[in-house]
Amino acid sequence: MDNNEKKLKIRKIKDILLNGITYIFSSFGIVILIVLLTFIFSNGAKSLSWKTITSNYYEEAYFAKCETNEELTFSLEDGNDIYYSKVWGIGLKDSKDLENNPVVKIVYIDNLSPLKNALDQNTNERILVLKGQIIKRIQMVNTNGERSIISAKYGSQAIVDALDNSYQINELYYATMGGGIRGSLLTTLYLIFLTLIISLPLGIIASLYLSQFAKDNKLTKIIRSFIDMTSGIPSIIFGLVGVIVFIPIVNGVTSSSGGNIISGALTMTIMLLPTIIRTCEESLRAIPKSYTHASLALGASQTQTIMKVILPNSIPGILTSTLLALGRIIGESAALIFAIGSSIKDSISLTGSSTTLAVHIWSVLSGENPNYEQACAISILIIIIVLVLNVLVKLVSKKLNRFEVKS
Amino acid sequence: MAITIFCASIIVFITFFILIKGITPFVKKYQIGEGSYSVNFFKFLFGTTWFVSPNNYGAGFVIINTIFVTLMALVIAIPVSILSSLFICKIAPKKISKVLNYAIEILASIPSVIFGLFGMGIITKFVKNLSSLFNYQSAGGISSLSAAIVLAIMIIPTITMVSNTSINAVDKKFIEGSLALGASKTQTNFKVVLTSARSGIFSGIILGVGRALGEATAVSMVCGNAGSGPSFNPFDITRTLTSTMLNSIHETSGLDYDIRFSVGVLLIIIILVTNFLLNFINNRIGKRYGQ
Repeated sequence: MDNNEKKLKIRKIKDILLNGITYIFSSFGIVILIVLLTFIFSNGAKSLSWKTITSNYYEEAYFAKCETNEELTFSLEDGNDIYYSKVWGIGLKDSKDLENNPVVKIVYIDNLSPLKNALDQNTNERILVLKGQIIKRIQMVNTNGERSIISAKYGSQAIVDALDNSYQINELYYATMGGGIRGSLLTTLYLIFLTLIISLPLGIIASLYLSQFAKDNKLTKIIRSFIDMTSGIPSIIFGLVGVIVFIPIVNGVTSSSGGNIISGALTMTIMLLPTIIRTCEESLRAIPKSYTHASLALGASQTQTIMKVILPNSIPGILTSTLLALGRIIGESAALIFAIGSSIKDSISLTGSSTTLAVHIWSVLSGENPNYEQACAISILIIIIVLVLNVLVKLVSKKLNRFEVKS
Repeated sequence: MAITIFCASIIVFITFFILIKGITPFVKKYQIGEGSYSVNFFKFLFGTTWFVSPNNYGAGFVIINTIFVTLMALVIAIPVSILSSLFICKIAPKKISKVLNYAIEILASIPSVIFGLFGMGIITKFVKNLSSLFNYQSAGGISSLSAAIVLAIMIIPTITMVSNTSINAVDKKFIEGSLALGASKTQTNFKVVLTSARSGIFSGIILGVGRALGEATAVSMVCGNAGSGPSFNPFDITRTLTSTMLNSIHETSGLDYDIRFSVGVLLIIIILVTNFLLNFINNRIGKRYGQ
């Protein structure tokens, strides 16, 4: 008996140990997810705004000139790291640009500021100096009639001091802030649109054939195993295919050069087709055979049956595969680095190279100075879209299950 | 019909085109500077340095490093994901298992480039601190260990989700029988449930290996692209097949660009061979235990 009790005790200790290990290991998933989300949200939330989404990535430089007179002064108090120029009526603040270089940002412009009447240096037309733009260099004439040049690296305080000493700006070199993701967002949207337009019809027709017409023979088996094999190929290989096959084809047809959105869409198409065919086929198979038989018995032709009975009933499945495809297009990076390109662009055309949001992240991180804030900001955007898609897929597939519940 | 055959033949096209392009660097003479070069095939297969002279591309060490990183990732990922799925399916209360399941699903749907960002931002710092514990100066944490951890995080959801299905499919009779024979719940979980679900878990691992071998962007961001090797120090920088393909992608012609396709061919072959081997092993295991 004593021996038995000992054994039981040892077993109990073993059980507790094993269970403890299980608890610890299985909490890994949640811990990783929480750390990842905190990292991304804490770094990116600040720089994600409507402005980031709608503005350009590259700075646009302007050169202006401007004069003022002694009578005009502004009563503004420095504070919150903002320095105000009493002569020019603007507030400046130290900030950082995309490459983490120090820049001076205009955070306030008085309505009466003489800078509102600034003229373009070359064309002598009115030019807008706006809040949020950055000052790169100012060339001015001070009260003693001496010319001086001061650049952004001296900081906003020095610039304001110099500005308050002069009534004439010969050259104001300023620029828009940059760092927006408008171009990449547009590319992503174009890519989604094009890819779905090409891949959905192909996928639906193929799955219709496989589920309705294909005979159960060797050829069908081979076709099926080939389609399955395609889904096991890593995405970077599809990128290589894009380079070898699609880029030359598109270049030949449209006289473009290098990667472009169309070749990207074609690459994504062959990548997504297996998934689309699989999901659609499953939903087509879930439709009870009695529907088809009833329709045929009522005298409808096969085409009519497919168009009016089978396709409408498989819409949830088609929707699911569309949503899954969407998620993969948004998240794909390796293949698109090859097929579309890896340099960020502001002006987007279907035949030109650009980056999608995911590749944008890769691009800003793979340079000399990785820009974590922007990468995290885009990641937030992607994660939110992916989560929404996830929820939608769940909702739709609940609908999809209605046949199984009935039978 | 025609469309279906087209879809199915994609894989044939892919292999064909990449094979042709991949062989080019060994056959064609490339004009680099003064001389014209082509790459020696055997040097490419067994070489231990990458790109020191114009035509010296040795991918042998890259293959070994890739397998090494993948193995490390598996060592981390397999226990975590098997125990997670056991916890989700058998141990946890319903609410907790639902939350955990959802967390795994979210992890599975996060794109790889975000894991790369996470790896650069957090994991490399963690590895850097870890390496200084061992008095080793790592390159800012960029190392094969970082790559392995990132890969592990990416394949944990895959393995867990497949294991979930197979653990849930274990016949209730086995479990009840084991409990009736006096085994404790934990003993049943580890000795009956896990062994019965063995084959399903193994196919999850096969999927995970495929994903780990083919993953490109995330790995390329944390592995550092070493120039020579192989190196088995987890804190050293490394180079995998996929990171080689993405390395300094900005040029788009010449030998240095075309050699990527040869690396791509290597990658496909390695993935096919490992898949075949692992499936073979899986079948053998299944037969031995009479499944």
